[in-house]
Amino acid sequence: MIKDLKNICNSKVFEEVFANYVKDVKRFIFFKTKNISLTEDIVQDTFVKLWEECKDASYDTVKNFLFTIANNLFLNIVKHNKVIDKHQKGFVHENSNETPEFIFLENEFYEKLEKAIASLSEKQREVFLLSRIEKKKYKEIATELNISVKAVEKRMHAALANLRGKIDFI
Amino acid sequence: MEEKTTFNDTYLAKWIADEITDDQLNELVSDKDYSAYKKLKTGVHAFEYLEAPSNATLTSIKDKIAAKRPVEKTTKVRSLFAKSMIAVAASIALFFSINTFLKFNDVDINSNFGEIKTIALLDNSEVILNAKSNLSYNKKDWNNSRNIQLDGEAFFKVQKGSTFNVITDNGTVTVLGTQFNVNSQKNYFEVICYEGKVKVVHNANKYILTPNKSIRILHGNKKEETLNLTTKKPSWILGESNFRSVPLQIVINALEKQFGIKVNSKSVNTSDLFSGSFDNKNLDIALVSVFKTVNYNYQIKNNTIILSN
Repeated sequence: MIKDLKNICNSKVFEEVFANYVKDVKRFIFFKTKNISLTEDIVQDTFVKLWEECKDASYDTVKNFLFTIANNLFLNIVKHNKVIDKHQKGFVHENSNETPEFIFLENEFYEKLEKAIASLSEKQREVFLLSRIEKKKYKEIATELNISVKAVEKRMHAALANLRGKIDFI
Repeated sequence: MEEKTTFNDTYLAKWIADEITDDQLNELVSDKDYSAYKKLKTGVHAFEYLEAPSNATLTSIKDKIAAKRPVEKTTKVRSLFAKSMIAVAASIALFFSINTFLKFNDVDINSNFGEIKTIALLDNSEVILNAKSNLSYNKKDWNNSRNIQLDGEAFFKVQKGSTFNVITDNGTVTVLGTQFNVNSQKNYFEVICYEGKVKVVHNANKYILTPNKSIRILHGNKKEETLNLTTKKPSWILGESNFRSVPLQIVINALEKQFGIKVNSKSVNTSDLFSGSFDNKNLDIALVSVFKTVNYNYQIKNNTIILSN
């Protein structure tokens, strides 16, 4: 039984591995590609590959395994894009119409932002997360927290002003 | 004036929600603040993506795996230890009696509570065994007759070749090469055909199933149905147990097998029909999705779920 709990070919173990590491893999690839749809493709293919090679993957080292697969998939795309670059000017991502919003976003800045979000006051963080992660409208948040829409907007405004104050922008 | 001052402490909220534009923000703050807020917005967008729940990603992964699955061949993996054990056991068996040897050729595979096992057979046919099910066959006879005994539920992907029989207490399922699901338990027998042709023999009656057809025998009563199958294999393989108007008792049996629990259903009517599904991973969610639907209360005591009206 203990062996089965660590067998990645078992779909439950696989889903547990997914839940544990998907964020890490996403982040790792996102700061390489700076592109959401490309990241999403690579992350999905990484876990598909893990499933296909589940017999060779060990539960204890699966994180490294995932990062290696993801990195290889990323490098393949870079190689492919270099070939495209020879024929086309500029860096073109395949299957992507995204504007290059994240090109100048560095990992260091993002880490500071994360820390700043974590250090917001409880009330501000609550509104911030409900709005940005749960994708709720200010009106819905107001109903949920039983406060006015104006109060929600004030908390959100204060949250953003606080984040701006907590991070030095150079 | 009042309007202006109140707007002063909410404009960032309106801007991040796209209720006011970047240009409007630029008029309200200094250039330095403006570029800082622009960068902050980019960071917030990245945060939204990286911190969002990954359910959709998991669904896409499952779809990709399901799409790839049919062409993929599972390779048999036998550990060296097992191989040497077979050699040792076989030589010992030869020393003793032919009977021991014949018995040794019986392969008996059990899946535990909540466990799914994939088994590659000698001819590369594949069986996926659902929780708490038993499968056995004779290795030696395999080339002459592909016979498998099943108690519980399993999905079969059979390579083309001689007749392949799945023998259960409820009846026998015969195929040549195809994909199908068999669920056999006390008073309940169900076969679903996903590909090819499947022959089901129950008592003296014979039924032929073509893709999307199913047969169900409940307490001896037969029901043939045409299903609208959207996937190439049953949902339990992907971690969800699905039911179409089956007595609650069958759902309870499945819960017990998936989670290794006991359900005490003395005070409720378990012959009521249930349609729906439950998640094989999380007991709490599974209990809610089954018993809230039929409006029964339940109490958890140790490993037993006690149902009441």
